[in-house]
Amino acid sequence: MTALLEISGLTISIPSSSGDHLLVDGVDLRVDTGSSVALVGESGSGKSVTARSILRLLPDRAKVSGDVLFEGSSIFAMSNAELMRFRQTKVAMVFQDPRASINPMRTIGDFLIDGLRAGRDLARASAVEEATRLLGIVGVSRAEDRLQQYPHEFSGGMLQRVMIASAVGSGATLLLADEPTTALDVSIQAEVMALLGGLRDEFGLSVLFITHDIDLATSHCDRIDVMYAGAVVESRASSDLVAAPRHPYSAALMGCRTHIESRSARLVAIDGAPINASAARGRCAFEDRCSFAAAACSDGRPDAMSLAGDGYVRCVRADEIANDLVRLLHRPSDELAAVVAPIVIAATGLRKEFKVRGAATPTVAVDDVSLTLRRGETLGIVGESGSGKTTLGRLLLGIESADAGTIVVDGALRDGRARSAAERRKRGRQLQIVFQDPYTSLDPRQTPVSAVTEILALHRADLGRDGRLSSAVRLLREVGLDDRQCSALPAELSGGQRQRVAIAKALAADPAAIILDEAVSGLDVSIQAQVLNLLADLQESTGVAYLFISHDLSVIRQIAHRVMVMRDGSVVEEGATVSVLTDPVADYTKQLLAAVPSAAGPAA
Amino acid sequence: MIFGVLTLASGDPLAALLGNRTPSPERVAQLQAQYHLNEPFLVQYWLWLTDAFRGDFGDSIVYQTPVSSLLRQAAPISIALILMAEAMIVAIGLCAAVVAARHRGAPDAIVALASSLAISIPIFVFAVLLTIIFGKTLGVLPTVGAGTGGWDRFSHLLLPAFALAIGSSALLARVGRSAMREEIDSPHVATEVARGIPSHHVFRRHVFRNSLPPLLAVIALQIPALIAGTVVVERAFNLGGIGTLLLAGVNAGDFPLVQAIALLIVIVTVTLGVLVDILHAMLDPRMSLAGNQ
Repeated sequence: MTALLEISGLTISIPSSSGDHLLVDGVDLRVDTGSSVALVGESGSGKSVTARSILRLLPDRAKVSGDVLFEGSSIFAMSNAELMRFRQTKVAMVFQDPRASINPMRTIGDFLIDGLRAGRDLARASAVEEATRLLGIVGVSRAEDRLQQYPHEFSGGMLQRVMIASAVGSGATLLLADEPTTALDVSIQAEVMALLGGLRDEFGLSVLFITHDIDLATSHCDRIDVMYAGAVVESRASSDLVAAPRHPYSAALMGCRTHIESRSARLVAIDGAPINASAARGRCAFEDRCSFAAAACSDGRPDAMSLAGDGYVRCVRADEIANDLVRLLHRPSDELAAVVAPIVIAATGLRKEFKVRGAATPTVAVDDVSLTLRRGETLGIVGESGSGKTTLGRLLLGIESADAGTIVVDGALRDGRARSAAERRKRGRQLQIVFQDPYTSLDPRQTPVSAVTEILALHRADLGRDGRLSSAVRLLREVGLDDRQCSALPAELSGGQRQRVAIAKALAADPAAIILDEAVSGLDVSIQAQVLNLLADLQESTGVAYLFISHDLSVIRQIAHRVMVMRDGSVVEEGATVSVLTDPVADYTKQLLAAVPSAAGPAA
Repeated sequence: MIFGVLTLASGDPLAALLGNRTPSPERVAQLQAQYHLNEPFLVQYWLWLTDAFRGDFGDSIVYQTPVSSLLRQAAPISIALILMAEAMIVAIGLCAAVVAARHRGAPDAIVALASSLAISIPIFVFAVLLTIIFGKTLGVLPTVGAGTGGWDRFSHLLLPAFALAIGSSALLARVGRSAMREEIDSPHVATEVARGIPSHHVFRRHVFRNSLPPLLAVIALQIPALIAGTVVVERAFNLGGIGTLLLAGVNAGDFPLVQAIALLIVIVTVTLGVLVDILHAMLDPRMSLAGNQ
């Protein structure tokens, strides 16, 4: 096969006051005509920058060396006019968040027609016709009417289809898909991936797929390039990688991606945080987090070592640890027996309606939902956005009052809002919540210590000032923060660390149960695994019960003992996690499960 | 509101009417009848409101002529002044914003410096500076009076309008610059660049167009300040517009005049505010009154 795109020795750095900040460090990458290649890595690994450099979409001040060849000619040698033409007709890019990536003030028709007129010099009338045809190709119905609509009248999945339509319309031969499904619901994710696969076959597109999700990558792409700290650490055919990853980082990514097939008691968490490329010069960048690290690892950057089947790995110990890595992936699953423990939350017949302006009938957000949660137990609530799972959590907390049904938490009846400060304090000791976004749920001017001390002051007046301070520090240590992080402002903490603070705040009230509303959805997979492990440890030591709300089935599988599947406000299926997820009864559960990417290798 | 505050604040209207003379009781009675001073507060208000609705604001105490005819004389000057100033604000402000947003580095720094200066210097200092430079030193533009009709009026108002506009246009330039920068750095603009849409199209259709709603809000917020500014500017250039009348009226406790002008300002401000809101709804499809589907 011939190389459509060939990147060699690409190095990108951004000058800053504290010296050059290295983003990409000597990346080699090749995409053959008609093939699909995935660039996999955590955020900050340099995968998006690499993709953007292919279209020369880097800031003016970026320093770039190495070369990017497209159809044999260097894109850095192009004149401005040639570059414009190249962007219009050769390579198209689909971005992560379609809602942010399409101008909200112009119609869908304007968006498509702009591209067609610029790239293919079409007259307006034929551009309209072509735009209608393109929308049909990507599966948007009533295309003619849809052209007049604005982005806010489209769902996220539909908008991503529009982006893809624009890419198809340009006649590009290479599609750069930068996390195209990360912002979408699981079932929409599967539809968009299927659409991309179909278009690839139909139009002979080559695809460079950028993702943090290694399972999504291996199930949809021919080749995988795993990036860490600005460098490709392993480059393999998908099937080879799935069978036996050779770099500890690839193995860790595959291990900490919470597998849908098995519920292991503990995830293979990657300790520590990803480092940037600047800090990793002259040694193996993964050394700090690698459980196989040896003295040889700090002795220069590992060279690429060729592997059988046209691949390479950058690890000096690759041969010694090959068998260990394979064993790591196939640890026996450990099922937890159901425990009989006192009931913490009992809700029966909950119903909540919302009046919608202009609509004749109110929307039923929660429809006759009953649940029980026992001490030391985790109940998972799964559903897509709009299924009513978050409203259910708000009802239990008492933020919303239910239209019908009863809620008993820790033996006390909850009806509506708390009426007194004492009542609110009592409720705080019964039930706490951790939200999805630790960036907005923490006070940006409050250090973790003072945030936790403040809550202790509410609930543990008996401790005294010094006692509260020392328990705050103990609690923060328990959730894995060091002394420096305890007194840092939230802005100085990473997403995972902030979520730890949020968990510590919830625990400070010593509640009977904690609602975790998409609490790990915003985190990178490796950090996600750390936080899930932490939650499991805390449950073991304190006996706190979790109500774990998530759209992500693999996370639910990992943490929940029992699961409830919700759709349009009703419970469609519930039971032990293992039986629901391996042998689902409801069609909807089957649909959700089918939508989850698995590591089974490229889909046929 | 206006009526109540002014009635309370302006003290005894009779004192304003009579000055230092010692009036005969007949004269006092006649004046009281003319200005309805013996009626209870609410009746006074009702009479004023109904008259005002017909365009009759009573007689000015200072000028001893109907307020409505005073306003008819002064209003065209002030309206022309404000319209010219507004045109300058939009032209200067937007041009500076576009230059600063598109060219990082020196042009951006110059606009930032110039706008800080323009915002911090008070209007009357500008007025004096402009008078000295263009009127006295260069002698190219008239600095006193409002001129008579057409071109003469335009040239007379050029300097006052500029003095009035400079602060607001600097503010617009700053807000415009950051609004446009934000759009330039937004993902949807990255999409357009990645699709190879020519940069002038990207700027016009995506950056400039999308930054208009916040700018419109700034313009709307500046309108009351602009009207207040006319008082200073009209005084500095001796224009004899509404601002001059207002100043004279307030100083003399001329309550019919002040009431009428205050009402006028409120009407103009509210009307312009509504216009801006309508324009905003037209610019931003997400604010469409028709609602979503």
